[in-house]
Amino acid sequence: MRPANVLSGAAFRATLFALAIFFLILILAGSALYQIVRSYQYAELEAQMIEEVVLFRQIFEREGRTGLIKTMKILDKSSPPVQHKLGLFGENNEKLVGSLSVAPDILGFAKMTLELQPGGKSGSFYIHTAKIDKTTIVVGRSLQAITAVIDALLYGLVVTGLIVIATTLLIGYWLSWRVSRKLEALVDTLDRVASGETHVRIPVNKNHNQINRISIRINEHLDRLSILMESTRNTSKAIAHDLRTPLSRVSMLLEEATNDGLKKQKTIELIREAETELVNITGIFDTMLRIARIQSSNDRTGFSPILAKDLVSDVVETYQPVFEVSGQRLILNPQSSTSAKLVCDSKMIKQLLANLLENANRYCPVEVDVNVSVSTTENGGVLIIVADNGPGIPAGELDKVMEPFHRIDTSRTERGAGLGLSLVKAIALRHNAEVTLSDNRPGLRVSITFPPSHLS
Amino acid sequence: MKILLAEDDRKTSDFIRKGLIQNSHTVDCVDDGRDALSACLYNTYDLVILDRMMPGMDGLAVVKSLRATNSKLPVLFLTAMADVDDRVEGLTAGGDDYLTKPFHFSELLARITALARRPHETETVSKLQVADLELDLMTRVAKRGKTSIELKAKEYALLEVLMRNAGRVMTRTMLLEQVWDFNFDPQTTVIETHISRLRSKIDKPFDTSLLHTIRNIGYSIHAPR
Repeated sequence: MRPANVLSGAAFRATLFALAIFFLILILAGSALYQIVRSYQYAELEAQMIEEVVLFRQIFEREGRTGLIKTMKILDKSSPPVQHKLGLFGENNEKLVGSLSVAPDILGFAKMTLELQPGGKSGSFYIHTAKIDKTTIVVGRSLQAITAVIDALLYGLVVTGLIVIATTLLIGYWLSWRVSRKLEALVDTLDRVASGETHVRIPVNKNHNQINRISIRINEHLDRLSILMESTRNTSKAIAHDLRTPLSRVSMLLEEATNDGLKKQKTIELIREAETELVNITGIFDTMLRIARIQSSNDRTGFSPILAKDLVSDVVETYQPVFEVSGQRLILNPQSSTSAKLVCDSKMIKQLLANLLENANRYCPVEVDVNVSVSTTENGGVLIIVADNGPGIPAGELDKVMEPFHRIDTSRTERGAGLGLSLVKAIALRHNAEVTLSDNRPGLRVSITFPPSHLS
Repeated sequence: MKILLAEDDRKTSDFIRKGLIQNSHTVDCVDDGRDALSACLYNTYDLVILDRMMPGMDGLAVVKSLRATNSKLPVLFLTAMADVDDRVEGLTAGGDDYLTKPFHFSELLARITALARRPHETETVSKLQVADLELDLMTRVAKRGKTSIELKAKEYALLEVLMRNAGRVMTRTMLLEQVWDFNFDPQTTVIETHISRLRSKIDKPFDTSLLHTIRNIGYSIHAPR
């Protein structure tokens, strides 16, 4: 996976955004903390120094100027010059005690850089200057301790910040990498499906996250799509094959008809025969177009309510004589529901029934009974059954016979292109009805179940 | 009849024109929708045969414009757009009939003849008569001479359509549409079987036959000629 893809991922961007906000908060909170710690430290220092000056003032009051000088000299010698500074100056600013050479100009608190040892390095000090009688007293404390605390604080903040930034970036990259990896698998799968590997699906695990949910949906769509692609491929193959046979017959008939030695009557017969073949080919195309149109359209303007039994008995009456001529019986079940109502395109349903009856008529031998019945289902739908006691369809073929151009007898000598049941299925689907083929023991039973009219 | 043929495919156009002239019709040909419309508006024709997909103006638009001028000129669509929905579209736009390519010339001729006499069809009659065959539309009883003939529902519907068009050829497709309300061609001998049933009732027991088969085209009922 290319790092650029991971870095441009949504998860990583969200991480960067969160990080920016964290950084801002760290700076604001850090500077507030810095201010609080600093002013607390200074306040403590000031309190110590004021207390010291008060002490010297008491000594001055009790023992006078000489006593003060004496005490300060002892103190100055005993305390370390690196931490502590003392100074006392007379009326004319002349130095009386301490290591400071000049008295500060102003009274009160001030920061100052002073030598740590006489003639040595300098350091930062916080000094307090006050007047005792006519002398100027200076008390100083090293700022080293405060600086150390503040440095430690800043150091802590920076280190925390860096650790957080580094780990957040790593986690962000990891999350983004995971998401990118899944998305890439998804894109890869779609590419493979598009290039013809219709069986490939997006890997899905048990997590209930967005990508998994989307993947599951896409997989469902791919299932449907591959079925469609498969059937389109089969259909095109079947069309090419099924039309080739009658077309070659036409071309042979016409070739024969152009033979010079032929009698005129024979020529006309051959041309007529070719014409019949062409009519059949046109019929195949018409049916295919019809199926395609029924499948693709969802227009229900031709739909109207009609009594199912009227529709069925009309078609049965039409076909009864045809069955009689072929020595079969076509019976409309006398117990058929007289009230079941269908909201449908009656011409389409007529064609559906006609196709089923024509199949029964064509594929059943003499002496066969074909029963048609209309009934209502438990939920208020309508069930139309066409059942015969003929040879039936082998169990393994039941699923396949509704595929376009599928014929049990593959010799393809029979008339018709094997589109009849495909058309039945398309019409049923258009009416949200379900077609089931089952064993009538013996024979074939075709059940068309229409949903209740308010659901269709 | 004076017929306007609007068809942009030269071969089809020539084929139809020759056939119509052989059947003693007068034919004008155009190959563009706009020309077809202006020809209809500035000439008097008995019938127009319209292709649907034409340059200039679509056949549907031609009919709509024509009907907008209150013209009652019979229009027959002749087109490769064979779908049921296309057909409905053509008829609702104002076409009187719809025939799809490829077609039999005899089918076209039969439809032309049927269209030309349409206005009279609105007459309300209570009885149809062909020679000594009589069909009472009120009581739905058929009689030949003095013999009553019992007919089943589909036989009655078939006989009525044939007798309403007595003397004319009814093609298979026309019968399927008008008797059975089928917009598809059955793969079995539905029409042949019903015709033979009807024939056994109205013709067989009598001396003269009235119901005639026109080979490869359809059927016609008429008095012996």
